[in-house]
Amino acid sequence: MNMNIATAPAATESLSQIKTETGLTDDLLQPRMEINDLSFFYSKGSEPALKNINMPIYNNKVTALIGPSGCGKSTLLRTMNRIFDLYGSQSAEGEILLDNENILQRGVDLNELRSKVGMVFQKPTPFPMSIYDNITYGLKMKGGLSKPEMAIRVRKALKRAHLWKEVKDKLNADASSLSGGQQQRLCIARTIALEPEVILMDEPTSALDPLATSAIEELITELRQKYTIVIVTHNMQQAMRISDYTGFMYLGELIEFDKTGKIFKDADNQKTRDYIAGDFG
Amino acid sequence: MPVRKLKNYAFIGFCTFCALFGLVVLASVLYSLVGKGVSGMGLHVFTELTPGPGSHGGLKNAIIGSLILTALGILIAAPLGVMAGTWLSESDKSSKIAEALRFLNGMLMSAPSILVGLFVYKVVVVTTGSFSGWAGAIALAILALPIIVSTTEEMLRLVPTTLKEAGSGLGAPRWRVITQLCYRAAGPGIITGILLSVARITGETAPLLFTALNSNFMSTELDKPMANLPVTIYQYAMSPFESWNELAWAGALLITVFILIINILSTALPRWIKARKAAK
Repeated sequence: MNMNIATAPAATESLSQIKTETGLTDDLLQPRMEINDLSFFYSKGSEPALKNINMPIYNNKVTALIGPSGCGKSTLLRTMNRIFDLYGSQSAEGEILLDNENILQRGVDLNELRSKVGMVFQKPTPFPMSIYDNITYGLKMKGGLSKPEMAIRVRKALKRAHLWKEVKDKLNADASSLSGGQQQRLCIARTIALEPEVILMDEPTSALDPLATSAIEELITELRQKYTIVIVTHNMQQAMRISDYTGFMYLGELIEFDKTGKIFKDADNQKTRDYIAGDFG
Repeated sequence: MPVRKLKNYAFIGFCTFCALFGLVVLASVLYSLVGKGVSGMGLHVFTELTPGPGSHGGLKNAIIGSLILTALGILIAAPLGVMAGTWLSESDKSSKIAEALRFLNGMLMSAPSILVGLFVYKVVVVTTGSFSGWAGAIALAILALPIIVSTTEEMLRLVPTTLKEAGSGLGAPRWRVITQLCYRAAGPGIITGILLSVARITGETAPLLFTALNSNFMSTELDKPMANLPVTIYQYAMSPFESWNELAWAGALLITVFILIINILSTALPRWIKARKAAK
């Protein structure tokens, strides 16, 4: 299915198309998020960095965003939890539905949104505090958990992020004492401790060595069963290995969005095929 | 020898000479300071009050007064400076107000300290009708403030934006991101800035001349003139009495050693904090 911008059908239509073409039933393939006619501006009156993006984010699937540097992958990702709001000059138009609510609307509780849509960054960003406190940071923000409940959550999150064995005896150690790969898994654990619905990952392995990378990739594949994941990656092999759906972006447009297998083997758009073949980017 | 090499040697030689010249001047200042200061030093410096003309005594009231004035000045300047630095670092890059404040802060940093003294004299001493410890502390605070503002801003700007985004990404409101993440990450640097401002104001004489004045009595009352080391040194050094001159040297040595300790602390403390964290 081709979601070329010029001919992009309404999101609901495209969704039903995907369903019929892939033969999946409704309850298996549900969009957790729907992005409709999204445009993004880094400052008022500037050229849009994203142009009319339409795209579903399917529940319990890994969606990869690929494309050459500067094509808007990270920008798109950063609209999904409105982290761009930290910078006053940036603005987004259109809608992003999460559980049928437009998160781009004014008056949306951003702190609540971000506890539903977690984010993992390119470089590991451990907070300057202990491993334990790193995990409880978001939980404390959300509130409502007793100390023992918190401890259970920490344990669960670290186990799920495959970090428990390595850190269970030094939970009070400073988080910066961990290796890069461990720090990144800590950041993932910190995010899943909040039990979000969606996890956004912005090139989560680009600062890691191959061994740590494969540990994170394995983790992502596992996490899919419980969470919806959107990942930006420069590494096409990685997109192929871990994602179910792939969106190819170029110059602020979503050129093509489809099942990962289709994008990599038999893309509809010539640009996508050229990029996959390594002709540019 | 080829001209190229000759030029090279000439340049390096010149640089070496200049560096040595600077060091020699500094070393000779320190040499005479330590030489003369140590001979005037003794337990009496810490236990006895400043003497009358020609008689013997110590610097006890001046030392205590200086400690009080400096501490109070920093207590006023540090919270203000850290908050202002925080505001500047968090303000939009294009903000005109922030730009203006930064410029003013830079001017305040290089303003002659005697001007600050005169300002506080006019605003505090004249209005309250007396020289006072408060006036001295305020003058010192004004001198410390710009240093703390600019180091705080710089240190907070060094905090990676990804750290802030990660905090916000977990649902933390902005003030919590600043107080719990940024201050922690930039803490050692901010402390260094405060310590450096302590070192800066410890030796200031001019702003105290018109504000705290001086006193020959042991007094901790802040609404009265207060004894302090810099002004005492100034008076005693200018006097014809040998016992006063000796005390002036001892006081100068004391201030120098204090500043040295503060400077060492300001580099050692952040390292020590880091090491302690890593050891945990």
